[in-house]
Amino acid sequence: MLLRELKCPGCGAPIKAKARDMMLKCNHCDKVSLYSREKSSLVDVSYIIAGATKESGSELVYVPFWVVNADLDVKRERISGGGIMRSIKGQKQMRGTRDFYVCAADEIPEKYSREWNMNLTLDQPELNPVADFKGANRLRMTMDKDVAGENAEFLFLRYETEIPGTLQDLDYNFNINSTKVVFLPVWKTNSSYTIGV
Amino acid sequence: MSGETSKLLISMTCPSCGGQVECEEGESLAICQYCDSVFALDSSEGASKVMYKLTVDKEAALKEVKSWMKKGPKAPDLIEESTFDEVYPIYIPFWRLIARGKACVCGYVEKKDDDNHTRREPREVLINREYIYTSSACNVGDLGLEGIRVSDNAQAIYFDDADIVTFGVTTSKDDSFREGEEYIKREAISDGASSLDGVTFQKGFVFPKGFTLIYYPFWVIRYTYQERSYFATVDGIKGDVLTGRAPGSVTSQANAAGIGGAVSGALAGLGLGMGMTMGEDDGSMFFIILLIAAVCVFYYCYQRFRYGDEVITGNLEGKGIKTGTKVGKIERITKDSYDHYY
Repeated sequence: MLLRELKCPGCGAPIKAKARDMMLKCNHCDKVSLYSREKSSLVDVSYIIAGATKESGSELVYVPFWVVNADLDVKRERISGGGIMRSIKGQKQMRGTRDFYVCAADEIPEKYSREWNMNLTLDQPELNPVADFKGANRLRMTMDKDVAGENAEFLFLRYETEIPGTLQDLDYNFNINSTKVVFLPVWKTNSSYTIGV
Repeated sequence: MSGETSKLLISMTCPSCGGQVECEEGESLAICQYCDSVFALDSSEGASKVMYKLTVDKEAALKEVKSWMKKGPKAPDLIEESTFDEVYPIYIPFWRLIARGKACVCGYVEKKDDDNHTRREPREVLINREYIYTSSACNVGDLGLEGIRVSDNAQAIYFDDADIVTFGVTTSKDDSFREGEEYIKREAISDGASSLDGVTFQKGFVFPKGFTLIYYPFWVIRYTYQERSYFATVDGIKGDVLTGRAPGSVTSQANAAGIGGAVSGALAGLGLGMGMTMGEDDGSMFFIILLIAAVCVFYYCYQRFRYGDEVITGNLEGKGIKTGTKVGKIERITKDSYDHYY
């Protein structure tokens, strides 16, 4: 096993960091790059930083999400019961082309990321891009791009089991169009988190 | 490895400042605590290679084997009459995949209603757990060490194949990785299906976290008893006997034949007697129950008699009385499970 020093793909300077992060910033040219496990090196990445539209908490942090744009084509579905509740609740169908939000920071407890992933995917937020983090903390990205797509697909299956009724059969195609990084603002108070979009 | 997924931790020297860089299993990046340099972990085999320190000494291994020799239906004079021919440590390579397994499983459970009719209640299960797949990366021959559970206090050290006696890796990394993924996916689906009586839909996912070639230490003890060769293997970290073969007890075999014949005969006779003296319905029921019990006792005792000349421990195949526990390829991690049953 060998240690190979990572260098910035922009200026070639050695990368310095205090903690493991898939998104690493060059201290020399400020370029943020993505670590590719497949290539064992840093690669160019485009990302969006969304500004906070709600304020609720003492400390603002930015949480990385993989946003997977996918076509979801459900060819056959059989759900036992729950039809009336679904229509009363106006339950949305997760169908067609949409962005699936997958929280990519393991620092966020599962109970928050689980809820955010579902809510953001169902009610796609209007993002208000900002130029930088403005001194706020950026949480470490710990999820590989490679697994974001399957996490998005599992999110769809989770939704199908959470709506009223009991899923019994499902035949679908899940085709990924693109995957991008979005940093969303989150308000942190002690150990609780509230999403800021 | 009970509570949580282990993190093999080895220290390497930072090429930039000479400080210590700690590398954890499943992580592809390492950071020098002193100069903050960031490194990609490169391995020529495409998987990290780590070995565990042998912490059980020769005397302790022998003591454990002698203690094992005293247990179970083994020859009573086994320790006194055995000659220990070889006692040596060896490292065996294992492929180890740590991954999160997720599955969506739908189906039904069957319940009896008041009219004794079976009705099906639909159910959904989501599984989200961590699993460890471990499989030997070589042909372990007669030793039977196909899987291993790494001890919590195992100490990972930098691999250096010049210093150790080891089996060569003979299985492909890619095949083992794919097999590991398949095993974990299957296990996640199977965990979801275990609470159901029937499955109507299933889909599994596997999210690999780390793939490592580990070298695990064992003691191999080969001994001779009445001119026949036997062996035992001892975990080089925990000190337990994992696999082994030993001669069975002739007395135990004779007892099995005698007692088994007598007890099964008595049960069958009792059943026949009750069947003749009690009413038609109750008598027939008792006769059938006791006859089944007699057949079971006879079968068990016959097996003890027929194959009692050898006692087999652990994952070993072959005829003989089986003792100890088998170690499968999959280990479930209970911590950080997020399963949901609807």
